[in-house]
Parts: sequence; C-alpha cells; structure tokens
Amino acid sequence: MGPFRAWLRAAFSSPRTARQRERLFALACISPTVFLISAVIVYPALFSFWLSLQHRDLFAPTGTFVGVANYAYLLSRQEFWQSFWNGIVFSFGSVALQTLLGVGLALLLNRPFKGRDFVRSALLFPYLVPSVVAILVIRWMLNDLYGILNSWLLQLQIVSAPVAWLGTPTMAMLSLVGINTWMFYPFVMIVVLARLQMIPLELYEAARVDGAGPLSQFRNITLPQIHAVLALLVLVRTLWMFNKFDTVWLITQGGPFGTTQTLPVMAYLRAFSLYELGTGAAVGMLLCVLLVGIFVVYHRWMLRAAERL
Amino acid sequence: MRRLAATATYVTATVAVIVMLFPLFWMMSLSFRADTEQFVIPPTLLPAEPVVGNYTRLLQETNFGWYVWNSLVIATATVVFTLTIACPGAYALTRFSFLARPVFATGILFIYMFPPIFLGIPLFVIFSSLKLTNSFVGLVLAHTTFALPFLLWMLRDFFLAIPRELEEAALVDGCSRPGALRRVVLPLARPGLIAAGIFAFILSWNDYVYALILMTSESRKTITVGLSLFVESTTIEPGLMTAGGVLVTVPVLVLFMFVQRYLVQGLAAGAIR
Repeated sequence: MGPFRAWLRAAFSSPRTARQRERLFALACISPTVFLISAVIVYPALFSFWLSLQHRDLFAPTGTFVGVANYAYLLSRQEFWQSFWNGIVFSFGSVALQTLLGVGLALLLNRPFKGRDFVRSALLFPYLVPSVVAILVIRWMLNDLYGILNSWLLQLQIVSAPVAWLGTPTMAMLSLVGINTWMFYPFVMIVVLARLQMIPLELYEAARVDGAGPLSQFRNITLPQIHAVLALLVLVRTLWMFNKFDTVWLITQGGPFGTTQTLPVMAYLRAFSLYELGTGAAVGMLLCVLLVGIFVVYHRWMLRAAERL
Repeated sequence: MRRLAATATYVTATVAVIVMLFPLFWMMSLSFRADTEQFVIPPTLLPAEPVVGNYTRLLQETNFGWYVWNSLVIATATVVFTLTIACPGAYALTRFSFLARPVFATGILFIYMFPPIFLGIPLFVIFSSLKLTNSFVGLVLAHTTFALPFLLWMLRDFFLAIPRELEEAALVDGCSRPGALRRVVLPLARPGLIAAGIFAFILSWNDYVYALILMTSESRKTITVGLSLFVESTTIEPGLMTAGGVLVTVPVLVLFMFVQRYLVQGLAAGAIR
C-alpha cells in the first residue's frame, strides 16, 4: 500500500468519468504500437518512395530529383521483366510443390498411428532450422565434386557425370524450387493438419455407413472442409515466396547469368552492389505495390465470398 | 486390407522422416569429421573416427562466439521490446471498439505483406544518418518491422479467445481496467504470450536480410550472416560450416521442444493470416 499508491488511485479516479478513463487507457495501450509502426514501417515506406524518385548513390547524403525516370528505366529493361518472370516461376513452382507435399503429409499425420507425435515433430524440423543453415548444408550436398547427392547418383549409375545442380539455368531454378519446397512445406502441413483435426469424425462415419470409399471421402468431406484454408494458404505462400530474398540470394545469388534473379534480389543488387539507391528503391516500390495490390483484390474477394456463405 | 493400410502408413511416415531429416543428419555427420575425412570420395554415411575438433576450432579460432553473442542479444532484446509494445496494443485492438479496429487490423495485414528488402533499403539510409547501422538498437528496430505485426496478430487471437465475461466480472468486483488486464487477461493469455515470444525470438535469430544490410562491420555480424561467410570465402571448410550450423540450430530446436504444444497452436493461429 503506502501513500503513493493511494495518491495514484486518487489521481486515476479523480473527476473524470469512467468512460473518459477507459478512453485514456485505450489510447495509452495503443499509442506505442502506432508510434513504432509509424517510425519503422510507414515512414521508411514513404521515404522509399521519395528515394525512388531520385538519382542517388548509396553513400551520398543527398540525391537529385528525377521524377519517374527510375521507373521508366526499369520498366524498359529486359532484366526487370526477366526477374519478374523468374519470380513467378519460382513462387508458383515452389508453392505448388509445398502445397502438395504439405497436404499429403497432413493427411498422413491425421491418421492414428503409433509414434505420430514424433513423426509430426520430425517433419516440422526443416521449417525450424534457420534458412541459412539449411541452405549452406544443402548447397554442400549439391556440390559437383564432393556432394553426397552426386556421389549417390554416380554410384547407382543413374548419371554418368556429376550433375551441376546450380550450374545451368534450368537446373538452378529446379534446385531453387526443390530446396524451398523442402524448407517451407511444414508450414502448409501444420496449418492443414490443424484444420483437418477440426473436421467432425461423425461425417466420416456417416459416409462409411453409406458405403463411401477413402477416395470419395476425401473428395466429398475432406476437400470441401480444407478448401478455404488451402485457398488462403496458397495466396499467402505465393506472395511470401515472391518476396523471398534470403533463400534465393543464398542459393544462387540470382545466377547463373541472372537466370534465377528475382525482383527482391534485383532490388538488393541495385542498391547495395551497384550503389544505385534510386533504382533499387524503385524495384522495391514496384514489388510492394504489386504484392499489396494482389492482396487487396484477394482480400475483397474473400470477404465477399465469406458474405455469400 | 486394414493391415495393408497400416503398413502403408508406417512405410510412408518412415520414408518421409528419413528424406526430410537427411540434410540435418548429414550436417551432424560432417560436423564430427576431421578435415581428412571431409573430402573422401565416395563419402561414408558416418564419420569413421568422430572428432570434436571442428567445434573447438570454431569457438577458439573464429569469430563465431561473437556472432552467437550478437544474435542472442538482438533476439532477446527484440522479444522483450516488441512484446512490451504489442501486449497492450493487441489488447486495445480486441477490447476498445472506437479505435477504428477494422481499418487498423487490415493495415497490419498489409504491412505483413511488405517485402523485407523493400523496407531494408530505406532503413539503411535512415539508420546511416542516425548512426544506427552496426548498432544493436538499429537491428532490433529493424526486426520489429516483422516481429511487431506478427505479435499483434498472434496476441489478438489469444486475447479474443479469452471470454470478456471474466474481465467484466473483475470490473464489477471493483477491479480497474488496467488491474483486470494484469490480473485476469494476461495470466490467461500466458501460454499465448510465451509461444508468441518464442516465435519472435526465432524470427529474429533466423533473420538474414536486415542483418546483411545493416551490420557491415565484422564485430557486429549476427550468426546467420557470419555463417554464410564460411562458404563465401575461397576455401570451403565443411567441418567448420556444419559445426556452426549445428550450434545455430540447437537453440532453436531446444526452444521448440520446450513449447512444442504452444508452438503448433501458435503457428496455426498466426499462419492462417
């Protein structure tokens, strides 16, 4: 207790009405969040737009205003559209595989069997290993000379010469998609599994009584139930894969010859290798506008779909 | 028929676990090999003579220890700082209707979609002029750009799951609103807070993009960037690299084991967004 506490209580319950106090408390709760988001997200986002309108060197304190010249320059460059297309191939490819693998394993884990908890934790591992670690190890496994994968393929006589996993454009993209699938399928698996476990078992029992086989049970009960979650997952995963920087950068650095360069990698190279802050920021802006645009459209569509239900 | 299905389940589960965990097994296996055993063709599955030399060399002869320390400080600070801000924030979003909640909630959702590289470029410029590059404060602030929206979303779900009646009962009994938050809501949301905090820790620990952009001096590098240097240097040392990989991964897995129950629940709650 003590006088300080009594004073505090008196101050807090002084003439103000309960409603006012409530509002004051609400504002006190929310203002740090609002302030921080404004400072580290909203302001940098606006500042990035300002940067994208300038010619500016990475280490120069100021730049010259050039209007939309950076955007015009980028949109006329083959490199930009190539990166855009690479991003589409990369994100659609890896999301498709992540979803297939994730749903398949979720269905497996939804069956009762001994040691299921262990298997579930084990299958979650790739997602928990820091990306950098996973990539370094896998890149070493893919090494032409000393990688274990090539060694196996040679021993089993599936190939006659070591495969250059990251050496040719097609192989590099396939490896990129494969590695990212391995890293991120657990996300889909866990979310789908959580949804699967919410499906009432009576539905399956009723279907079995009606003589429905496993396949028809999947099509008529499971799929409609996980449909909404899947739609959302595919969207979110695609957007996230599209703006992935670290995995692409660490696996191929955009190579060979820019054939796996995506827009985030291009933004990074522009800003931090070529020291062109303006075009780097412009790539970032375009990427952001694209992602948020797709998201808004999809969000509206989801809301409308939800209303119809 | 039923036995066949059961066998198929076991076989699939076993194959899946072996395939998915192989890279991790391989990392362990390489980390306990002497240099002479690293480049044997064809490689053996297990080291012929397991040694711990890579680990001792890593800690004694490289800057690895510093990288670990930097990451530890940054991830811990990020969790403490962001949770302190997000807790009342998420609470306000769930309890006070006049805060234009829908607008704000959707706003956070948008921010969640911002690519890190998009914010990384302006943050580098801003932090350079504020002398916040190569600084723990700077990187913690950069990590709040993903940790805060994430925590707000996750905590929002946990707070929404707490029945308002409990809180109202406390208010009727003479508890103030802050008192009700502290005595009723926060204890009930504790599992969620722990899960959320650990998630934020792992996100920060695993970050590569912001650390790469903002921490350029050797002594300030984090574990992820530091580790990637082992490969970019001209001579690849698989032993050091994999030993480092094991040491970076172990804390994450230990954290995961502690809160596995909450983590799966939290991942599902946060991941639906």
